[in-house]
Amino acid sequence: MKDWTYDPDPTIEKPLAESLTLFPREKDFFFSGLRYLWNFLLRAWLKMYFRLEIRGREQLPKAESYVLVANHSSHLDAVALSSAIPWRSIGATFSVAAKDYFFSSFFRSLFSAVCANAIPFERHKNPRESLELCADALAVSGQALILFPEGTRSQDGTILTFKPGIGFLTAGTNRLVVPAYISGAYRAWPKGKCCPRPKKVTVRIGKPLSFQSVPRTKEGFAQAAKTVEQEVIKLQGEL
Amino acid sequence: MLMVWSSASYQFFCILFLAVIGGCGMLIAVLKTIPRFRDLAASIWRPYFPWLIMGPLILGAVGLGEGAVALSLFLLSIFCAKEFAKATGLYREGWFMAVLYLGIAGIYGAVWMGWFGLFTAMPVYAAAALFLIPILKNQSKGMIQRVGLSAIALIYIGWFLSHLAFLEAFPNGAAYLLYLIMGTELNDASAFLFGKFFGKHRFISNISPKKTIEGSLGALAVTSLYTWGVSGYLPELHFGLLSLSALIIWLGGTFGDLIISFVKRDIGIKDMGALIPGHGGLLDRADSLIFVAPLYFHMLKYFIAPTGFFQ
Repeated sequence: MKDWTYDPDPTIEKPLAESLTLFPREKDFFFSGLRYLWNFLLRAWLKMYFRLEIRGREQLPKAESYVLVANHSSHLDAVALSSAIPWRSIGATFSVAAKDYFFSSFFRSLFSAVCANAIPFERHKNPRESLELCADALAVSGQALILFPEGTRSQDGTILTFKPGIGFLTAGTNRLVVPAYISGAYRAWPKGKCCPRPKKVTVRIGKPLSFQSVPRTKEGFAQAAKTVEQEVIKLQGEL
Repeated sequence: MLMVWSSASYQFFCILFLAVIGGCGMLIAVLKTIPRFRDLAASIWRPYFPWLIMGPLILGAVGLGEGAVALSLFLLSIFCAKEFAKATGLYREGWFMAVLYLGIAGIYGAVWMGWFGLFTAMPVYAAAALFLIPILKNQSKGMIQRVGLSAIALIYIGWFLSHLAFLEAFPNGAAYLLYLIMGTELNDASAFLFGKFFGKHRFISNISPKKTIEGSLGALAVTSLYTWGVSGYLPELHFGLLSLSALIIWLGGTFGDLIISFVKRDIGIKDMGALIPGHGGLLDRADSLIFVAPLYFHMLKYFIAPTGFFQ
């Protein structure tokens, strides 16, 4: 514990709409409370409506930082994956979310920041800077990211090519990548449909991967991404 | 039971409140049409505009009765305490924040039950709980500051402000409450306006360089005139008590403002938040009221409360 110095919230004089889009996000008692409430309701809904099943939850690292990645074909993916996170880590787990979509209005920002604990990711203009933000979040031990390396939802449920960003975050570092495969989410709620249908959704979590020995080069990043992609495809086969 | 909103004094203060807000609006609209005053009108419009929302909210809460007043003030206290915690950095301390919020909830719980004895005891319990946190966490470094900041927020922002909620318990309480809120805000606004137009002599330069003697005297004049003007609706107060009321609003309002000013200046920030455009945070708006609330409450309790009214 440190000596005391006044250290105001850096967003104190900014309007809420603006401070919601900033990251790292400052601690907020009310927002944390709402986040727990949201997660509680969400888990209950996923369990009852989609009969959500999570296999391999024990694979999630306890103390190390990690990136939880999966295939992406539905809005359900992020919430299904976040339901796999243990309760005590909810405040330390961030979903990487497209800034142009999830932070495009006040209410979307409010939802993304409070409920999903999302990191605003600039996927078009400045992905490098956003990747640095993600890397900073991972630099704190015990913090985790939920990320979809395809970068967007797949139109037909097939797995798209993984982008090398996941390699940038983990190659040459001791951060782990936990691959997962989500099945049923596409059938339940594909892109473009307004209402989800009550189909069974299953999340299969695989063994953590380390890319410590992979060089931090363009090729290394691509290689790491390729490996993760193959692991996710392998999990698909195991289901 | 007589509803608050049907009482003549409540209706009078409502009309007065709305008339002042409406009158100022019209004045700004007129100033806007004169090219020379256009910039001035724009600079007054910014702090004026939020009153179009805050005014009806205050009148509505007071009109709905004691429960609504207690709930509104509870939320105000909680969010003011939050702003204070954000400004000082205390908000990163989960345990202290939890006890602080619970303490404020306890204070308003006592208000809600109308249990004055518990209301006066609650800050003791909550402060005691704050002192236990370092012991339970087995940590000492920087703990005086953490306990101290939490205690300031609890007592100054939580407890001081909560005295307002008890005002409505007095006979004719809604009138006192509205008189006080409106008086304090008028006092603030007139100090600002008189200072802006006539201010020359600064007096608290290290804390609030914009405060001037002219502004402060202007506020005293407006507050006295206002108190004298509405005295017909505060029949329990004789001339001496009316003068004391005006004095409490004037001095208390000025001090309350300066207290939050020195807090901000010590930390090195300009505003406590950005919730109310043109004012800053909630605490920037409620600062005067916080200091005035307990002074005024005790004046009323001492002089006009029936014997044994508060137990």
